[in-house]
Amino acid sequence: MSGQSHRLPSGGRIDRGRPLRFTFDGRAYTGFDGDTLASALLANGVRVVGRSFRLHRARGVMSAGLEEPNAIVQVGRGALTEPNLKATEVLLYDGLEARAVNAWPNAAFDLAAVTGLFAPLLSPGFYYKTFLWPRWGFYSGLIRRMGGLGLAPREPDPSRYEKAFETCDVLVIGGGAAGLAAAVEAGADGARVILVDDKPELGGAAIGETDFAEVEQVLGARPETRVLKRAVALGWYDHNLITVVEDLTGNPGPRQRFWKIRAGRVVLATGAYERPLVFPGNDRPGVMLAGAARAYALRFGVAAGRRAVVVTNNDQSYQTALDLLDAGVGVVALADLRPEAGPLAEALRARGVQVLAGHGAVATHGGRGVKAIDLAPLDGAGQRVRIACDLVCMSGGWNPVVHLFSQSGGSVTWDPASRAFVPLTWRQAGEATGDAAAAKVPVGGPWSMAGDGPAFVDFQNDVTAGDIRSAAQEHYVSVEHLKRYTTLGMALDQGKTSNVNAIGVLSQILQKPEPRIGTTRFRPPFSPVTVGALAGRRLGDLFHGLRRLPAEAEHRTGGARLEDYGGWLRPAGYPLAGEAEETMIRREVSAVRKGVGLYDASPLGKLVVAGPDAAEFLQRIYANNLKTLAVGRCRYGLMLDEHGAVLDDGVVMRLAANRFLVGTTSGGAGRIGLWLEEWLQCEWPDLDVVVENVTSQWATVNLAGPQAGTILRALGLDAVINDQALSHMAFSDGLIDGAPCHIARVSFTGERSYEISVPADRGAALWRACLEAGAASGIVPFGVEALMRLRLEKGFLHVGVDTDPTTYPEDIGYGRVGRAKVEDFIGRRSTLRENAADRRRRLVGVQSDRAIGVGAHVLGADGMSQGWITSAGFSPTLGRYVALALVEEGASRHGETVTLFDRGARSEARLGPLCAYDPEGARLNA
Amino acid sequence: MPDLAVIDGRWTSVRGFRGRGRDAFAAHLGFAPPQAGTWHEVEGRVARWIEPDAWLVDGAVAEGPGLLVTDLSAGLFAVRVSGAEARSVLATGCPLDLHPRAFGADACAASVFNEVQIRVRRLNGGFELVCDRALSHVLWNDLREAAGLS
Repeated sequence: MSGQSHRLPSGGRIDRGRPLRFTFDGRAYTGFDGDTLASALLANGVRVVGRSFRLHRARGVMSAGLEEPNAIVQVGRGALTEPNLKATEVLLYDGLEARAVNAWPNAAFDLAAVTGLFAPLLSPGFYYKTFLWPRWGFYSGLIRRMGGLGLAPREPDPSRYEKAFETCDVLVIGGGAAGLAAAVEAGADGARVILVDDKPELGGAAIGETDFAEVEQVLGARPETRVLKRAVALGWYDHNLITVVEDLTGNPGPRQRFWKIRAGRVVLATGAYERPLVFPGNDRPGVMLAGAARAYALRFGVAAGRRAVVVTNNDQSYQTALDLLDAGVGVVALADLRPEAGPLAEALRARGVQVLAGHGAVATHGGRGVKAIDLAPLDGAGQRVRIACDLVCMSGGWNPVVHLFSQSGGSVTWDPASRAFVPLTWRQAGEATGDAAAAKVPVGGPWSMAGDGPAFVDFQNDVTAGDIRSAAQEHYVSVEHLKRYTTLGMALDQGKTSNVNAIGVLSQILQKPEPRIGTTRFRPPFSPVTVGALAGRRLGDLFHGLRRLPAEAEHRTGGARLEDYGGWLRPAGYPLAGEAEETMIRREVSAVRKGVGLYDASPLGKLVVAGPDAAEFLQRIYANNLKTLAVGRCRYGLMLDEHGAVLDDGVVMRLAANRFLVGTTSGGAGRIGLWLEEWLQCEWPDLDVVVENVTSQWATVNLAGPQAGTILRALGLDAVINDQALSHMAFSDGLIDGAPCHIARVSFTGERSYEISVPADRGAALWRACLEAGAASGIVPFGVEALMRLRLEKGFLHVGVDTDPTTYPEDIGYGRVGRAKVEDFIGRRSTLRENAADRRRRLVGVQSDRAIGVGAHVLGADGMSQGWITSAGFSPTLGRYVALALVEEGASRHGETVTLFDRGARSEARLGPLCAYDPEGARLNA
Repeated sequence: MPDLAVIDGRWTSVRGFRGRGRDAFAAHLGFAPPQAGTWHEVEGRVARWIEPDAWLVDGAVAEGPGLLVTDLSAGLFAVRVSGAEARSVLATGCPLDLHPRAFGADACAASVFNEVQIRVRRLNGGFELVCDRALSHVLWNDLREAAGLS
């Protein structure tokens, strides 16, 4: 294919019969199926693929895997665009569009680099020295625009992201030779095995060298073995939970799948990453890892250059040089940092390669790519040699990939021969194999070389050996401080190529052995992950499911405005056409006070508490006395936590001697159910009590208002409902249309009120029946907002609104209740404290002719806040504004006029009793 | 394509008082309750283990000594997921290991599907999922979504 100037005539695992067109920075190129974006760019002779973050230096492809620090690209456009991908990981497809993320207008010609705009601003430690409050926002905006961390799409991502849970006996991470061997072995007896590999093809470092088709066939034929390709293990958490993101881009169906895998044992066959060498000019495009140059030749049939110079500190690079020669990549010289050349030196010399032992690199030359390298003896006794080249292959040895091992709680140890951290002790069930198990390539020579220009350690964040020296001089000598001060290892690659070199350079500067420098601990994710993969399908309507009422359809028919109240989708009210919210509330309140209203109370929590010790149990749970509650009667109950603070309240019914129905606040049934279970199971296992949450079994409607009794009678219940039997705070059981129903005479509105409960599947019918029975009386459905106004007029407490976790019973007027009770109950000790001197905030009623805002402060004479308004609203019944407030000594300040302060505005209000309407309770029997 | 079907039926929670739940169950219902983590069917009546001394039984049960018997027919929602893909559909939202080796023919366990608490039971050719009625639409929509039916 014309244009692919650096494609070797043969070789590689690419399909030369399937050319693919793509663009990079707006220019059109062609690659082959099987290419990555990086290999295709190299095949086209593109050398500058990105700009560094801080200095905007031109950078070329450095690696062939996910450790890549330089070739960071934005792929796709519109809603599907994805930033910060490594070109070495992006599989080429026809029509792919990519841009360098850190360059404007493009990687080859970058304005910031030309103007040198950033270099002076971004010295080491720039986080701390330059971007000081209050201008951080300005700087971060500038950095993001010019520094280029990629662009998130503006439109919603239309792709589908899935999640999956899986369990296996053995999880093998890494599909190279060692991982494949482990998977074959582990699954031989039918064990459940998952093999995860980040590449589209199995074989790891041996791709293009060995054929793994047969092994893949063996694995594929096993029903209990699953192979995930293009899948990166991101995190290893407690109890062998491993997260994996599988890339499915290009396939029909989901774009990515996020796996949570629970494994009996984990085999790490994660291989090793080659270390760069730290020498001046080591970031010039054309300088790459020796193993990467080999991978491009063998796996992709690409010559990353035509005249290569190898700079190394180990024997393995000699073989790499021979492999390159075999593949058709010219190699002219090899410089070995060690005083003695490796055993393959003669083999290289025989093929015309100049081998220079004891030599390091001191400079590179070239504009947009390396044109020559200067090599010099490291002992200083000799001349520099300049060698023309267009590719420098560097190798500083190999780091086993211990990231996941470290995440799992394992500790590493320093291997001096290979200068790498290797696994030492395991905390979770796993083992390492292959290159991940131990460093195998001994290295020698210095950690860094001095010469002309900066020598880079962290390529993406532009941290040089000189920067590390500066940090050390400023006493940032701990590796943790060094990292934070210089941002070393904090780029997208999280130090995969830089961390060990930094430790080595620091040890060289401080004259301290490497193990005493230490290493930073690794944390998930191993590689960046999309938010889409983490979110999965939990989007839109599936984001958070609200509990729904049995009569929801009836509410919708009735014009209800439905909202989320405590996790339930409930009617806020039933606005008439064009009716404003406040008008609606006042209309619904007035209907209840003057006629009759209908309210859906189904979310009220209902817990059956039964057993021989049920009464004793509830006596300990509630602050007030429940032992004296008669069968057939209801009582208001107040629960406290261990600290004596108000936890919940509700109505308790005694269904039988040993059976109670505990009412909780709406949405509180689950929480209080767990609270009761905790006390039963952990504190009082001697009590013979069981608890059943029946909240969803029952639909409950509330008939409230002076005409409620009329409607109740019109419902045709088979139950005793006369005022004598069903007096206030009594309940009765009966039948409605042959189905069981409970009727409780309880009131949260202050009016005569009946709570009728039927099995939930009859809830809609009951709602309709009540509307029908009340039609002649002008029954008005009312919502949560009107109910809240009605209870506010009565001064009834709303736990969680008028209380907070520091509110004691006596702060809300229930101090006597607890003190009068002789038996122990949860929180009792706190109720026995002498709190009079505390100047505590206590709940008090507030009234005013002017609007009162929730959250308004009550000011004292000194202008300081003495408390705040907890609930407020206009009382249509009284014709003025009423509120509740937690105010210092509030309960003893009735009649006092105070100043309210609400967002800059002041107004006057009077403190008074909690109950503003019908304090005698006459309306309950009206 | 997996098959989703709502299971209609009557459900009764049977909870035994401390220490005598199993005996009270057996005496009152005429058959022994299932062991922990399992379900069984005796003379056409399915009983699922819920937690120590608690079971969920198909059909009506009269009040009995030593037991709290609660009709939950209207408070629970059940769905059957069946077909070759049933396990992979559940794997999108349920962290339980539902492999036949780990979750056998008589297995019954508490778990979640996404955010909805469920009780899972293996059926012949599929699974039964039981959840709270108020969240039935969430489970149903999530399952349809996962099964590619919506």
